[in-house]
Amino acid sequence: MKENIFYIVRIFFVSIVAFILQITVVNGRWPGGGSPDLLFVIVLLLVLDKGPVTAVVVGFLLGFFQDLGNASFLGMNALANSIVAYAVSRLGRDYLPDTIIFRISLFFMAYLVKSIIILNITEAFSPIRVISFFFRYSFLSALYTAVIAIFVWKLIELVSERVVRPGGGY
Amino acid sequence: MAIFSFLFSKHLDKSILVISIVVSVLLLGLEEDSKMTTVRVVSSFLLAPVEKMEKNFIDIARLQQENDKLREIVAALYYERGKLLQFESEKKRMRKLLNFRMDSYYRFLPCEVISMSSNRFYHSVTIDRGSGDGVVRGMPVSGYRGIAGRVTQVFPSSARVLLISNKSLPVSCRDGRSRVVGILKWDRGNLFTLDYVGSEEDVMVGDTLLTSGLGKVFPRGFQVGVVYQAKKVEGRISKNVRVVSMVDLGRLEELFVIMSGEKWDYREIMRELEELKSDAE
Repeated sequence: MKENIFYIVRIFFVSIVAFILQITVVNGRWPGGGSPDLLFVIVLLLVLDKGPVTAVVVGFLLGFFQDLGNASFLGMNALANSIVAYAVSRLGRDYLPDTIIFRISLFFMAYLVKSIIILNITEAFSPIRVISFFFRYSFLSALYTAVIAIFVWKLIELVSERVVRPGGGY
Repeated sequence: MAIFSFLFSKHLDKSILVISIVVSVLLLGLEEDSKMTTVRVVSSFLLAPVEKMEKNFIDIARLQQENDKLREIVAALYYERGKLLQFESEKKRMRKLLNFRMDSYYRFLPCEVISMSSNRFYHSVTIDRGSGDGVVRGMPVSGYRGIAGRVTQVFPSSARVLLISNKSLPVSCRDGRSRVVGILKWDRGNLFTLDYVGSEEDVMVGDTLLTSGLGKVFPRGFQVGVVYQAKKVEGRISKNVRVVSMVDLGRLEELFVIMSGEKWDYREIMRELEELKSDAE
């Protein structure tokens, strides 16, 4: 029980830090127009070693937290994160091998899926606009997000000397 | 029951996913106003600890400002105290030279009002101090701002105080500014008249009345009231002076019995102040 509370508090603080970094430092300083999504990185790293239930809950809550910054699309990130977190948890735990190449592909694809969901909502399912934005921004953003996710993943491994393994546990 | 078992035992992950998708879609479908309200409520809930912390910081800044201000006041008061001490010793020397009696200072025994007279025209209260505390019949009693009455009956642990609003307790007063003497008599509520003031005597609105010490009923120099009306009446030899008492006699809660005067001893007072200071620390 105590560990769970610490875990939630830790997620909360890490999310706040990521959110602050996202809106102050990260947004709009990357070549090509795209930018990494730090809160999504947190979601990906958190759900990798968790079951799908935890993954969906964490994805929904952090997405909802992200949505608080943009009331017009309240629920958008929550929806996208829930679906993607569920998929990442399932694929990462059960199907994909634990190597950097597969991992970076997983993160990259995860961001693209999230991006498609979000673009469809923000552009009201207009195919031309969705495709246009998708190719203009999403690819680069997905690449940045995947690279940062891998970097943070390895950093956590180094710092804590624990390996985040698919299939649960450290 | 079987459905619940199917949804939340066998397919818990999928059920949670569906629930989160449904909730997200519902949130997306909300009216703009409802979205704003939801965001505001959730944000205020999440940011409450941050706001609380911010408030604490603001409080600290405010306290620091207040502290600085109080330091200034303390410095000014220290300076003023030094000057007053000089005046005091000067006055003492003068009085000695002129063969006056030495000034007294008084001990104040704090007490609480435990009952008020049932007869509204009797104007007395009962306090929770009695002969066991050294209270003696005839001792004057004051409120925070001025004279309130006089002890008329003493019991072991309580005493009855006749208020200055009682008709049988006239107070001899002196105008603090012009030193004119008159007798204070109750009129109604907290209002009094100052009798025996000649029509040509200098009493003005705003003057503070002090006990004169004449007749030794009340000690000299305690505030009694403030003049709110002073006018000449055609054909009369006395002035019509109306006074409002310093103490709200209808709402007395804490009083001080003025114990017998003692010789002014600066060192003893300082020792008492030091004791109080160390108690407070």
